[in-house]
Amino acid sequence: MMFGSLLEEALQAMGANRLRSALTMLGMIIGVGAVVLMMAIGQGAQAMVSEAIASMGSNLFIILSGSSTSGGVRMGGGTVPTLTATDAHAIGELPEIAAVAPSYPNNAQVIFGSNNWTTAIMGTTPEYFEVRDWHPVSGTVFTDSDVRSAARVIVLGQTVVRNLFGSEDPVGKTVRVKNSPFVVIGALEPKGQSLDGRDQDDTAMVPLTTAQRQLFGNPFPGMIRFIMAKARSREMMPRAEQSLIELLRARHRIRPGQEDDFTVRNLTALAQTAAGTTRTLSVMLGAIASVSLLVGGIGIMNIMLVSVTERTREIGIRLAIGARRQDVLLQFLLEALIISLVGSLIGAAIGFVGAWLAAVVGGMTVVVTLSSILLAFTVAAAVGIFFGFYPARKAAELRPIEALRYQ
Amino acid sequence: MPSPLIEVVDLVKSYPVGDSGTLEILHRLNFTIDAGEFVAIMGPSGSGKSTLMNILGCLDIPSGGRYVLNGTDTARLDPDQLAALRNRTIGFVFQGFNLLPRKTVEDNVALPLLYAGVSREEREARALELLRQVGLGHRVGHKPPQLSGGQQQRVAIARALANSPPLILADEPTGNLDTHTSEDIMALFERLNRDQGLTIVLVTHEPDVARHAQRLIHVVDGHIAEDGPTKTILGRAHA
Ligand SMILES: Nc1ncnc2c1ncn2[C@@H]1O[C@H](COP(=O)(O)OP(=O)(O)OP(=O)(O)O)[C@@H](O)[C@H]1O
Ligand SMILES: [Mg+2]
Repeated sequence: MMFGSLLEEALQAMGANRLRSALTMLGMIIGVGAVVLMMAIGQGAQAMVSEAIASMGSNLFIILSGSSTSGGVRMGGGTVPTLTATDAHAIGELPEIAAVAPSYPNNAQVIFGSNNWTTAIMGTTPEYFEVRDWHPVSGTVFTDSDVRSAARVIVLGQTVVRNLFGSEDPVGKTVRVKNSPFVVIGALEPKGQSLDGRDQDDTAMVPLTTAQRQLFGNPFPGMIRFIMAKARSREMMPRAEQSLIELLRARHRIRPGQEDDFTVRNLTALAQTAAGTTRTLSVMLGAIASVSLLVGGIGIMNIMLVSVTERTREIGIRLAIGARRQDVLLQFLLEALIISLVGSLIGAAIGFVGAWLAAVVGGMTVVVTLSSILLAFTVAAAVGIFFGFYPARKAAELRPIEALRYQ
Repeated sequence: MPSPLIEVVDLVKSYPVGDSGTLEILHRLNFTIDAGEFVAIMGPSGSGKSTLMNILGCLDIPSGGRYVLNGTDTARLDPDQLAALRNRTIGFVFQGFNLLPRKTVEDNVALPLLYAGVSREEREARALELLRQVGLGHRVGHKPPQLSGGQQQRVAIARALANSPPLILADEPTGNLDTHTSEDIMALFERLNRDQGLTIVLVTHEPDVARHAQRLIHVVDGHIAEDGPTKTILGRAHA
């Protein structure tokens, strides 16, 4: 009951100085709003990255033909074809490697009826789907016998399906690629964006041999562009990388001291780096936003100090008629707390609206979690108590006679 | 023999001046006031009357000696116990009223009850009753700045009476009021003393105001120069 009365006193005092209370609150509103918004954006970025990483497939290497440097001239990986399907096969025999997929991609137009869509057509083996952890949502993927017979079958990514077939099921239909008919045997589950922002679903797969012999006449028969390999486990990746390099050097008869004619990239490590960068970025966003929260808190303290000084006489009168120290302390502390809590409530609402706008208008991925809301409120309450306590105690410790005599 | 309401023994008050020196304002005062007395304190400006009243009101603490209020040695009390004493045992009326200007008259009067932990309904009822008692029942919702000086002092007196304390201390309660209004206020004090048996100690410069009291303490330069029945002392001064 006593607490309720003091709460009323605090509210009355705030009501008597509405503009000042509102301006003090504004500091908290901006602080909490910034924290909520920045955390939503940071966590959104993190969620996007981890989704991209998950969709990539785990424990992944990509081996590109061509060295990163060649005779002092830097060349892009994959520019000079040096890898063969038999290299891929040999890699698959390594104990650390779970699956391996030779890849021979090229762009081509896929036509169905009056629709056409240009996409990256990947010549590969059935293991590709294992390496990428990629499963069909309808139909199936091709088999080794399809590869052996260079069958004219094709598996479509979701973007291709959407552009050629709309909502129809493509399985069993015939599409044309470079004037050859291909039977659609499967449609893949959607994977979304890759780490570098490409649409992973904008692709189609055909058997490696079909791509090499029938679609993209190969000037270097048997050559492939790159090999994807999946290690048995995360822990095995360093050893697998070592073995890979040794194996390929031996197969390509590269003498010690000579440069590799291929490039091995640990995609999983690259992805972890990207995830780490995003996490750092997100923490930094939060930290920057927290500074405004701190500034808001200092604003509360500043105003409360002014208020205590200004109301010294009032405090003196209250003490003279029997207010105890805790009564005065609580009244001022409550004022600070109300300002910070109401401010944070409004700030959180504004932060949510901002996050929603960023998502709907800005097309950003944002994630608002319960923990970020709780964090905002805990911090706001802590700020209120922390920055309100000193001025409140200053008021409570006033000697009645001195407070009454003030000016 | 019942113990007196106020007992002052060798009371000293000094203020620090400069870096190390002190200035003694009240010099070893000794007096007692019994419950039900109406005492006026007079004396030249700067003689230490307000200093004494602030100590009696537990707003300030003595530098030496003892102040026993209602059987309790105030030196032994912590600030919160002193606050409780100010809340329940003492009603203080100031020369400058000391009302909270933003609060209504009713809320001002009810404030000591709030700190006594009285419920809202009881507070409102009691405040209304007190305001009627001082003749301001029709001004409940006004704020102090909207009232005349005399009316404000009535509000302050109602506030002093809120927790029914046995002791009312008033430091020049009529100092800011004209003669006619002063008479009204003094009549109110006299009635409270006569009808409710309240002990009243008030400081004044006006012999006409002091004449309402039965006893007069004359303070000069921090000493008690005279202490006796008002009629005797004032009668002699006029002669
Ligand atoms: N805080 C203080 N520090 C130093 N000296 C003080 C302080 N308060 C009062 N004094 C001194 O104590 C003396 C007595 O002051 P006090 O206010 O008690 O006088 P008074 O009798 O009430 O005078 P008046 O009739 O004008 O109200 C004065 O000389 C004053 O300057
Ligand atoms: Mg005085």
